[in-house]
Amino acid sequence: MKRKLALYIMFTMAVWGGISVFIGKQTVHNFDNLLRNKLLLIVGAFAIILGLGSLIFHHTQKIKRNARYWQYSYITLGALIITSFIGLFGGVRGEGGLPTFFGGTVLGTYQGNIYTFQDKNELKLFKADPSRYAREDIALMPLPQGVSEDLSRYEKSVLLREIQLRNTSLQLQNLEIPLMISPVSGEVVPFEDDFGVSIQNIYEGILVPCGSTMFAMLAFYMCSAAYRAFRMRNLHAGVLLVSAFIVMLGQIPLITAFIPGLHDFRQWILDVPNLASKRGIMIGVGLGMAATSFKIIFGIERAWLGGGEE
Amino acid sequence: MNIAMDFWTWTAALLTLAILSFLWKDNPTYRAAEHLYIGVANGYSVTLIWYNVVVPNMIDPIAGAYRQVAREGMNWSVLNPFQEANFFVIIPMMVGALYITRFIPKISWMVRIPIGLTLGYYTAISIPASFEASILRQLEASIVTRAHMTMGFRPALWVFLVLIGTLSTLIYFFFSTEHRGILKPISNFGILVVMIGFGASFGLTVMARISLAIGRFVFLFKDWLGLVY
Amino acid sequence: MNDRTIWEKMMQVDRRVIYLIVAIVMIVPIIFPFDLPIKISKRTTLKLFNAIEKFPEQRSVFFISADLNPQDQPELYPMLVSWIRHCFHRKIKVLVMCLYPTSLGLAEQALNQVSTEFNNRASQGIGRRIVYGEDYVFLGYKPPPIVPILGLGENIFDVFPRDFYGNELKDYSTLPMMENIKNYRDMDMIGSIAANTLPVTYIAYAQARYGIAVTGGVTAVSVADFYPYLDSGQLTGMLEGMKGAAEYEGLIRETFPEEDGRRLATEGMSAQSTTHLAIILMVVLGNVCFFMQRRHESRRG
Repeated sequence: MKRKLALYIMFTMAVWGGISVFIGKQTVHNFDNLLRNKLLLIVGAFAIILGLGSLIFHHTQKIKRNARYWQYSYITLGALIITSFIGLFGGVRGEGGLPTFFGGTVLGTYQGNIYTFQDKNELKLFKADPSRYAREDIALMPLPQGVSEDLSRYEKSVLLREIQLRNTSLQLQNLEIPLMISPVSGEVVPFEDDFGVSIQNIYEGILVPCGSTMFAMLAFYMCSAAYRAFRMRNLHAGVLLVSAFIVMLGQIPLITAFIPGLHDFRQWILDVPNLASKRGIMIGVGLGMAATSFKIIFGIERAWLGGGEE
Repeated sequence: MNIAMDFWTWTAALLTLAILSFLWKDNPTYRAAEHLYIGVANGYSVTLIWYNVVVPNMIDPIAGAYRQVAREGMNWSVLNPFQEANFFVIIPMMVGALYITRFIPKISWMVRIPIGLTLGYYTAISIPASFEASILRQLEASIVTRAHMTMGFRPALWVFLVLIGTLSTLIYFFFSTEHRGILKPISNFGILVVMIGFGASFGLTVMARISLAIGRFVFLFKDWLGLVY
Repeated sequence: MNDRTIWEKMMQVDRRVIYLIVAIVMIVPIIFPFDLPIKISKRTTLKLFNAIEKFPEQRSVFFISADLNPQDQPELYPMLVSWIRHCFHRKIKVLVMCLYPTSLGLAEQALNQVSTEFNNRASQGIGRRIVYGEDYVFLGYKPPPIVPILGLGENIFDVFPRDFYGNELKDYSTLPMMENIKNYRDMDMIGSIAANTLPVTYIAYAQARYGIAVTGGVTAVSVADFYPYLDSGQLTGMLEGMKGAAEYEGLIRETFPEEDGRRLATEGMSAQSTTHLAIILMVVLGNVCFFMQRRHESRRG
């Protein structure tokens, strides 16, 4: 009965899915949008609990049992807790209650006025002492000689971006950007960019390098595998090897510059035999997937129900 | 040389080296970096799901509806799911919460309910979409028409070759009958076509993997050590 | 004791020796890059370039779904930059969206980089100035992919009430270009930059339901699988990994002589070339050793 209940629910949803695709009525559309954009989204969000739960369970068990390399499980659990804490309380862009920017010294705030001409395309920047002019005065005044001062390129781009992002139709803005001198370039840079522990810093400083280096190592493994295992043992392996060779040679500018026609030959391989094989596989896979989908919907394929009680 | 002085660039560089050290042999720095990565990656997705799904779709509507009730008193409109602020979202939240039953052996069967809901809907809408994109349009594109014949000898030949190649690939993967008689040479040709396709994929994969390694070395030599450009 | 042949020894060389060779041939051209003439692929790169060249100026919209992750950056980021450059040169409006949160940083970086390039040139009197809201709008991110992919076919304002920076999308004084964009019907093409099969998702849902042209900027790993879609016309050209990006950079440089921005993919092609050559030589060497050893063994009986 318990399995049947899940099957009925799944089948009902599948019928609705079919209706939503083939019936173009506005009420159907509206309800379908609500279901997809809100309700199912909420249900699906809880699935992460499954993943997190298994991760935490796996590592706590490892520590409990003193399994091999159990010490490292503390790193995973610690990183998970600290990252979630910083993320949840510090906010995605550092806007949360938890302060995520500290350390270093603020040079001071840049307090300058940005003058733009009536025509938005003519943007001029200059530093001015705000106490000397009222806002309106500056807006109406022509650019005073000598006040215009060359800003550093970086500063210019930061300010330009600010003015573009906030409101292009504004003619005058009083920007306050905390600035500091970069220890690297000696240029003036926005304060937050360098010293922070926001989730964005963690993303760029830990997630990006680890993730991309793991993928980058595949280049080395592939070279080693190519040297050891890519052998012309029989006709099929030979065909595979020759095809791979031509494709590789055809994408090296160093070679195609000297062997005319190689680039076109590579393109032919991709366009004709490769196309035929990929299309054949794609049609096969497509039919298989459609069949599996129908099997799931009609309750013939029940692997997703898992084992356990009836 | 213009070495970076920034904390996060150094962190990124040291982690990159820690992971690359695995190429030499398995070692504690690699294992530490790997475990750190798994923890941080999960913590990061917790944050994003919280701010992008939980807050706008669950907390905001309920808080809005609560304020509305406090302001205007109870009325039916706060139960209307089409309204921005509503209490209705509690129902899908309760269904979603059934995922947690997975960890409670006695009622763990209830986890099938939320799985069934999403699986049913998305399976159903994927059938016509993939049928159209991967089967119907592909069959249509394989058909040799009179227009192909007027394109000249070589293009027409290639179109034929694609058709024959596609059919023989399909026959090679057709296991319902034994490949005997006429099917044998066709499926043999099919496997040759498939091998050329795999070779092409391999050649392209080489380029992709090298690109990724180049990306890491550019980071180390440019952003960290400041040796390049 | 020592009866192993030279071939056998070479076949069993320590894998770390191979890693070291690969690292050297990759690193040297990164530090000392050299210029190479890059041939343009007609059916993929050139087709896409020509399609964008044919868009009418001022009123065309190129919708870019920038779904690149940091690990795909070397291949996909130059594509995104090139597309934005091309559109800005041709006065085509650019609408950018991300389907993954991890893409937001890179997409914003590309938009800022190209608009700064243009504005720097404009301040020297070359070309035009780029203004946010008039020339491009950055929508930000909305999960999960299927929601915006289908939702943008109906009404963009339902899916994205505000842009990435919090401006109301319907505030036409700030974002004037949004006045004429409501859904896919008002866009000329979808460009999907992704390391997975998202271009196919766009074909299956956006193109099949709403009939919009789709193109892809994809990693080389999945390029071969996209050829059926290219042949059937479902994809209007595409860019194949770093090579495709380098070709596109070359086409832009040729067509718009004022373009002087950095060509990241072109720079990477010298390291690509040397590493490719090294791999090819290794496969040849591995096979020579294999056959020589086999001959040696058959002679010995």
